[in-house]
Amino acid sequence: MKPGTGIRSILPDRSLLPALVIAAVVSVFVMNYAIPLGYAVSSLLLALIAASVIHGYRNVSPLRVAGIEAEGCFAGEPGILEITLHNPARHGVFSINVRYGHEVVAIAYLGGGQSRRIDVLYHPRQRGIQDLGGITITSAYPLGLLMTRKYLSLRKDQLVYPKRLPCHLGQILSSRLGSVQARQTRGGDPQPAGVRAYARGDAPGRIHWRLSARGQGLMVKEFDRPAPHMDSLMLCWSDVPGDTEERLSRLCEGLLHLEAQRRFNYGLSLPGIDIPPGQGREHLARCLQQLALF
Amino acid sequence: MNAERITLGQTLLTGGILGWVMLPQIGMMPGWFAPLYAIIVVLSACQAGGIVEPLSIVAKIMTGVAAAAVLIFTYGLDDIQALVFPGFLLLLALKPLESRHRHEHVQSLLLAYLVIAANLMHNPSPLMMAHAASSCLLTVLGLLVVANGAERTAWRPLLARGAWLVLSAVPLAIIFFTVMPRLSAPWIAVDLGLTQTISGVGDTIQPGSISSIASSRDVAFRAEFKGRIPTHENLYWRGPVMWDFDGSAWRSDNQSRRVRILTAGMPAERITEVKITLQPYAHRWLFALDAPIRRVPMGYLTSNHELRALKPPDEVIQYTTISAQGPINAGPLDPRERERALRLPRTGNEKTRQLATRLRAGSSDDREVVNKAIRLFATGGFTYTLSPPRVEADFVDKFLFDIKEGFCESYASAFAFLMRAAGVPTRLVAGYQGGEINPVSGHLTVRQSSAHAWAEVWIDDWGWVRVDPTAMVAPERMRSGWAESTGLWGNDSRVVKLKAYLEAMDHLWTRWSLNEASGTNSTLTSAWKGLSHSPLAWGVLAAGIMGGALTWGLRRYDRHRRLTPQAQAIHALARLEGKLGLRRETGQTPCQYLHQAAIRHPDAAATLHDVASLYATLVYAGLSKEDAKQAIVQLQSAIGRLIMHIYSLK
Repeated sequence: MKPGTGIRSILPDRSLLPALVIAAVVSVFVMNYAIPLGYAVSSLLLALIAASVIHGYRNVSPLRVAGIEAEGCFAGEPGILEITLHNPARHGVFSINVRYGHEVVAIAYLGGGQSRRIDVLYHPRQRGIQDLGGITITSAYPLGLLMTRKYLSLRKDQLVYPKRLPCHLGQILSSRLGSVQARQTRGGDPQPAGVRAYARGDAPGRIHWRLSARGQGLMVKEFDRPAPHMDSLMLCWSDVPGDTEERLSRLCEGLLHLEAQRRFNYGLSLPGIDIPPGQGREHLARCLQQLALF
Repeated sequence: MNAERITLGQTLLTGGILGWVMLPQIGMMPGWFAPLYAIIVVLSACQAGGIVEPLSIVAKIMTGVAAAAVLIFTYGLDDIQALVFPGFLLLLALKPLESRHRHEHVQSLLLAYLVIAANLMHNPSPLMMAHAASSCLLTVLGLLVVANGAERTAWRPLLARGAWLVLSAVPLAIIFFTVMPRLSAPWIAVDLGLTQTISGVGDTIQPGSISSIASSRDVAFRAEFKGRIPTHENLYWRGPVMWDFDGSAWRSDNQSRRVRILTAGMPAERITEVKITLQPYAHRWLFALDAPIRRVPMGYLTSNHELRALKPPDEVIQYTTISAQGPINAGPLDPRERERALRLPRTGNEKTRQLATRLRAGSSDDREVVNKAIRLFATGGFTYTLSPPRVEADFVDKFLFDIKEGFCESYASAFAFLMRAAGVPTRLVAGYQGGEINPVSGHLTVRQSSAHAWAEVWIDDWGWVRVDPTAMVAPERMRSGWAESTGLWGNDSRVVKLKAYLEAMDHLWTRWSLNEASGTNSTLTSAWKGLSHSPLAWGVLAAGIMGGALTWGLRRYDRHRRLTPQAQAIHALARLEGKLGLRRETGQTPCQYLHQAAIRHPDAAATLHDVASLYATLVYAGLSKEDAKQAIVQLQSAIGRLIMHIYSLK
């Protein structure tokens, strides 16, 4: 099954049974009293009910998932999933509800050839590579008698980092921090070298609030790459307390903290895996990936 | 936003559409119905818009009970059947009060179809047809809007798609229309009182009985002649024949014999074939051109040359009559019939009786008596009026000697009395006279205003001869035609033409719909009739429906089967997890989990280890499709055994 293709099914909505009963009553009524034109009316009603099956099916059938974007997120915390729904058909799609998990997003109309981005939250429970599952599109179009349902598999695996738990970096690193602390107290906070537009994944601590307030969108402070001779820290598995998951969680938080601070090069040492010290978003992502997949 | 809830605008739209659909019934409902409905719609719209608080359940019940009580008070409980349809309309009108969700409005709009059908039963005219068509379209529009809660930007495409929906339903509707069975007799004989039956010409004639309907422009029946239409003064449409006079009223009875063909061997030029489309009518007389000589399928012919229906036609019916013009000689008059045709009340109308004696004294035979009486009416200073003064006793005397003005029933009645008093066997006939020839379709429309009464006298050797004293008094009445009947609009030719077209369309429509209802004469119907009556066709239809349902069911079932073996294995394992009552720890691989479970359940350890190794093989070994299939079967059976085992422990 390709991404974006889906299973469609047509389920009776709560109005279908009354509709069929009413259609039957109208038919019996016109037959009983032999109302010549009434036959036309009851036939039309029956035909409308039947035609609404095809129209309902046709309404949701062209919908595709044109794109999925998700930011890396942490187990136990909701992440935002941006799903772009595309209607490649010439006709518009009416009144659909897109359900993902417990979230429902209503789209009243999606014209032919148009796309619509919807944001839904997803709640990863476990770390690792998680299947994002799929979305269910339901619609009562056209007459509210039948619920047409289409399941679209997102076909996307998402990396979920360990759950974040508080990490007391001071305690963990106390044995290795001597020289660093000295430098830190001397130099104070590093001054930003410039600003750039906010990108997803930037630490909130780096947002340049004063500039952002001027209405040009969120801006973040850029720091000079730390000097290569900067002190290096290794976050070690063995230094963190707790069981496997707890350790991973604390390491995860520690990595984020260090990256946000931008003061040190940091490395990661897990049983059997060693990542040499480094810095930056890519480095952080590599470290977190190891934690997620451990 | 809760999509299920209905908005103020949608409530008003549904209310408006239902109001439009119920409009033709407003006249049948009590006067308070329309204002009540308007209030309900506005109130429920305010509820939907959050302007007012929703009514409490007590208030709703009280409203319902009050409305029902007023309805019963209006209609009374004597005729429960007559309450059925107004009750239904009342419920439909009250429904918006408790409809706050989408599906409830959908149901209201669907129920509108019942009202549309009832409207068409009530009055199947072209105007009502247009109303029904507009109602159907509006209902679809309402359903579209209510079901989809259209945004303003989506209105146009929604309308376009709605039109497309209706168009695509039409072919299917035609199929349904043709296969729908037509019943020869109703299943449920509840008279909803929806059909308009016009009293028309009834079973008795007394002063005022015909003049009361003479101002009605309602159509009594329409006639299509095979061949030439007789001249206007020969268009006598025969209804009941009345023998018995009690001093004020003439009555028909059921004593007359049924006969098959009364007169055979008539010369062809005296025979006229007419197809008559009779509107619903409260009595059993099937009108025919004077005088019918052959029975019709839904009725019988009496020895009086009356066509009598087996039951009052409470719907439009069509029949073809064969009539013979001119006097009909049915052999010598039976002595008992002669006695009946001369019977008069013992006393009363003495002056007329004296006049009759004088007429008889100066005449040699019955024919001369009749001629003298006709001359008397033509020259006696009588005038024709639609509103004759009411007279209680000795009506004939007062009419002939004092008032001297009256309507056809007065003339016919007085003439018949005079003839009987003079010893000429006489009877009264009620029916219609004349009609309007439609210049478009060529058919003849006979309205209630053409109701008429005349007399028949027995002349030896001739038989019963029609004598119409009204024709002597007011010959102009016999000449009214299409152009003169336009009344209010004068003689504006365009209006006359338009009315002629409408009238022709009405007739064509009635005739077509009659053919459809009876399932005859229509090529479309006859083509499908065979099919719809054959068990094979119904079998194919049933098989199609079942096949469709089965395909659908399999499709849904297939969803699970189409998963990869790996995914199926995971599903199966998850099922096991629930049954074992042992949660899989975070980060624990399925195999680790199964081994842990084996420690917990030593009695099932062997199977659990089997499951673990099968699972590992399935997920990691990269089996071929066939092998994987086999492995999954084994895995599932192992899990099944495990689950059975767990149940047995419990």
